[in-house]
Amino acid sequence: MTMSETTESNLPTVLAIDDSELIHRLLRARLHNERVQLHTAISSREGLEIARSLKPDVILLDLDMPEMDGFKVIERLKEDPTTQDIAVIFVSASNDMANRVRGLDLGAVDFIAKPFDVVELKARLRSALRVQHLIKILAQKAQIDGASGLWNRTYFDQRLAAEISEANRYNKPLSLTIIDLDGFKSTNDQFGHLFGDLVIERFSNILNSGRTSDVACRYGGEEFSVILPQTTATEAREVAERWRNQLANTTWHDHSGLMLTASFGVCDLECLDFPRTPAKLVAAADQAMYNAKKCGRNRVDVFSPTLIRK
Amino acid sequence: MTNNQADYQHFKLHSSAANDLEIRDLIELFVREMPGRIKFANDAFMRGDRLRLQFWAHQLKGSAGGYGFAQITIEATKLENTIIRNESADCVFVALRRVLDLCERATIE
Ligand SMILES: [Mg+2]
Repeated sequence: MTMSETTESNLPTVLAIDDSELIHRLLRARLHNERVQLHTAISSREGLEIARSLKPDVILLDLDMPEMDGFKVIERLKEDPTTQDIAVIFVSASNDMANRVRGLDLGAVDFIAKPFDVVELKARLRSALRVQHLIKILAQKAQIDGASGLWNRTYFDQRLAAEISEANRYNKPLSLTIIDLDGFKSTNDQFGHLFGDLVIERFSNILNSGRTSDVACRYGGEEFSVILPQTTATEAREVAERWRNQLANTTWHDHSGLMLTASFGVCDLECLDFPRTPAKLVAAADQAMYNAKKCGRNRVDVFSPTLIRK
Repeated sequence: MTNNQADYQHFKLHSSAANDLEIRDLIELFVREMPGRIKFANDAFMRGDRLRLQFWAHQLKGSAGGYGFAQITIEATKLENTIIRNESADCVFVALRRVLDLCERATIE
């Protein structure tokens, strides 16, 4: 991929749904120098299809179209979870107050009168794109744990379910590692909560500095979980060993000689009986982690079905 | 050039966006396509197809202004309204003639 292609694909996308080719042409020329990728649809039906596959940031929606008018289109967009968050700007030649109000009530963010003024068009579009950008950042922030910078539990639950269904469908390996810091409560009591926060932060950095495909999450207080797509238990064990070593060899400023460790439980999807669910995978990795605790801590244990009977 | 042609030049309707480089080529295309557009409207009127004529007027109303022909947008709006109000064929004809007169005079030169 060339540099310009990379940049292009990062541009916000705008979809214009309008039954007039004259309008498509104008929009293409007017938005040519704006930092957006413009797509056009000549009918409501085509527009809905493209909206579902492209998931644009903003839709410029014509109100008057044959077959299905803009009001019906926005209703469909708002009904569908994959398209409901797209910002819709109505563009209409019928400059009627009742229509404007109805459009906004149906969830449109703005209304532009046709024939549009170029400066107004660009300003309203930029404003909608700015808001969309902020919404995206907020949505992402809500899934990140503040103290560790890792994904939070809510995100973990969603992501694990998605990864498992993908692995099941394409018969790909998938591993989960659950980690618990050893003796974290006494570390907190002995050195204070500020130091405890530092430990969480350092260990999070270790988990996050690994392979980009791994999904590291803060599972709870001193518990962490890492989803390792396309990874068998044997490979996941090696990865976990590296993390275990890194933590055990970390030197702690102001507390020289202090060694902090963690216990790791690994399980891959293969070990589970059908149906293979997120709950079963978490329970199995947890079981392996408790086994590591029981066997002396600072170690990596891999789940095997015999563990349950022990 | 005959006197008639010279008079006609005087009545040409110029796009207010003719110097806008972003859309100059598009205005040229818009003007070049005018004969087809005019024929479409005449045919629809002759056949008494008010829906098609209303659709045509609506499209022109929404776009002509964007190409720098604000007057066409104004007259197309009036034509659309006469059809929406279900006025007589004579009224529609007069309104249509006003739009077509402007369309015929539209130029980029
Ligand atoms: Mg339309």
